[in-house]
Amino acid sequence: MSEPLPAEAFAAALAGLPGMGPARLRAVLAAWPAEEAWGRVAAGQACERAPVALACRPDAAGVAALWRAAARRASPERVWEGCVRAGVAVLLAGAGGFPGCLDDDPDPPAVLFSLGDPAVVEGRRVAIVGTRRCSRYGREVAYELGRDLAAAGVRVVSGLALGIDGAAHRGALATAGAPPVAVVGSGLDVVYPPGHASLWADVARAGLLLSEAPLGARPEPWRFPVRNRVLAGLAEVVVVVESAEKGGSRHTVEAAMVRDRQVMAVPGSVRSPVSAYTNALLADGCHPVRDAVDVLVALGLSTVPAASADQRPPPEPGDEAGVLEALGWEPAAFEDLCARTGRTPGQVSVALARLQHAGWVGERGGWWERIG
Amino acid sequence: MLFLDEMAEFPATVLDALRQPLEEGVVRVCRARASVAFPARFLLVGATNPCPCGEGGAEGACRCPPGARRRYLRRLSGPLLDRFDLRVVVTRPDATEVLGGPPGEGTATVAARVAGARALARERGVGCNAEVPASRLDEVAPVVPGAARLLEYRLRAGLLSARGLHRVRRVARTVADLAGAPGAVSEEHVCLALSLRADLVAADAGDPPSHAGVRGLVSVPGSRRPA
Repeated sequence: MSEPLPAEAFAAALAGLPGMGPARLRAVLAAWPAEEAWGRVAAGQACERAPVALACRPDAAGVAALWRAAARRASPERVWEGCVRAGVAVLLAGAGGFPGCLDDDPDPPAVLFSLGDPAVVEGRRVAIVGTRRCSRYGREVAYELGRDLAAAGVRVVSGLALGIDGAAHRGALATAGAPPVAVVGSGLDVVYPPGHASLWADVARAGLLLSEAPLGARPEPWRFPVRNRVLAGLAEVVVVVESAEKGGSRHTVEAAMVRDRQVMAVPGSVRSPVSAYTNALLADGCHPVRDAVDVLVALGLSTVPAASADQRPPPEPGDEAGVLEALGWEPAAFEDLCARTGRTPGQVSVALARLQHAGWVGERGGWWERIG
Repeated sequence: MLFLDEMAEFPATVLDALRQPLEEGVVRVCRARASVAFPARFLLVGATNPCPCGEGGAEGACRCPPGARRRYLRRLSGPLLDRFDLRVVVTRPDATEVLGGPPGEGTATVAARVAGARALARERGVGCNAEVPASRLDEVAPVVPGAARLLEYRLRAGLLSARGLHRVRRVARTVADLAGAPGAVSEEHVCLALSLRADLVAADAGDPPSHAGVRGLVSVPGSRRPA
């Protein structure tokens, strides 16, 4: 070994042990400096300190034995090499680069893995969250909010999930505004959902990807509610665009309320199941969001609306603009587009080919969908 | 003509065994003493649901988990799908259409157009445009510069394979023949040929169209002339 390993390497290795949730990791790292903590855990002495034993209830001895066995197979050197190779930084609570807004969090992460520039979080931040199974309306609103807030210099924080999350980040990336911030549930080298691979890369390049999960961590279901609390902690305002009565956004909203973050909701149709939760929030007294200006007012920022945030030239008037308008934000089949526009299949196919070339639409399984 | 209904219900090995006869038009049976080739020039038509429950059409109606949808369509391997000349997504018609929308063209009208296109193919010395060898494509099916740029972009972006390019050019020639357009193939006809080549494999590659997806597809492949 030419150089001694930094504390981050040992913290990252500890985060990768089985059964190591945020509270346990916090207790272990509070009990000893990271390098010594690794040694103690590997020796099976983790639960000799009372706070650690408390965090590992009810079977503290079993957890200590599990960690000891896992630590014998793992090596901080290998974990650290993996991070360096993936370009992933390890941020320790209270150390440089760690988001300041999480310092006084009631349940802060002990370690954050990051891809991109960690300084990006220092700025105004709004979380845009919602259901994966959103409607065309929700997708459009999320895209526009993301775009206009980013254009106004506000960092859009979201979870890179399908539906609302992805639309908000696509919007934020469509303008040369504030960098986007994503908090994901899996390890930073495990792209989830796989279809968001390019969006994932774009966010890492333009902004910041954060995860509490160690490299290689699968997107296990328990990680998402845990992730949602970090998302809520990072935001100053949480905007729920669409969510069903029992959606995952509920975790984020509850975590935001515990942290005194303002929660805002986009009103929806009273008949739409994916607006049931947002409408219930409004009935309970949440502020409604009609457009980005409502959010900017909540942040105490200028209320001058951001002029035309989309930097790209609009598509050619005529067939292309007509087809794009007829497509809207819902997937549509080729013949639907012919019927909606009243144009011939030839005209529609040429328009779609040009729109696809220019990055406005994409095709999947015979369905056309607007992507920009 | 070989019609495979519910194509994705066949084991992948069975489907992939079709690749070689589709390409060469013969089935080879090799045993210890002899190898026999049987003629097998056929038109393959396949139909499949987009997912096991078959409800993938209406919004939110599909009851399949995403993994099941992926596994289902994965049985149609990329190389096999690449050998289909036409891949068409068939959507569920809405009620008004079923209950008597505007009538379509009569079969006799279409048959006359098809006969005309076949006659053009015979003038080129082939039974149908699918039999035009790749070496003669520049002569038989030249494309206008705008369409060439479009095809080049598709190739570079990985949206089209080399085999797919040849097939698209043959289909575009046929579309132009059916429309009565001699000479270089226009951008419109190339785009129509491309739109008859739905990207089914990518249907599972990621953020699915927010609710469900392909409702049904009919794929007409390697359209060799029926023997």
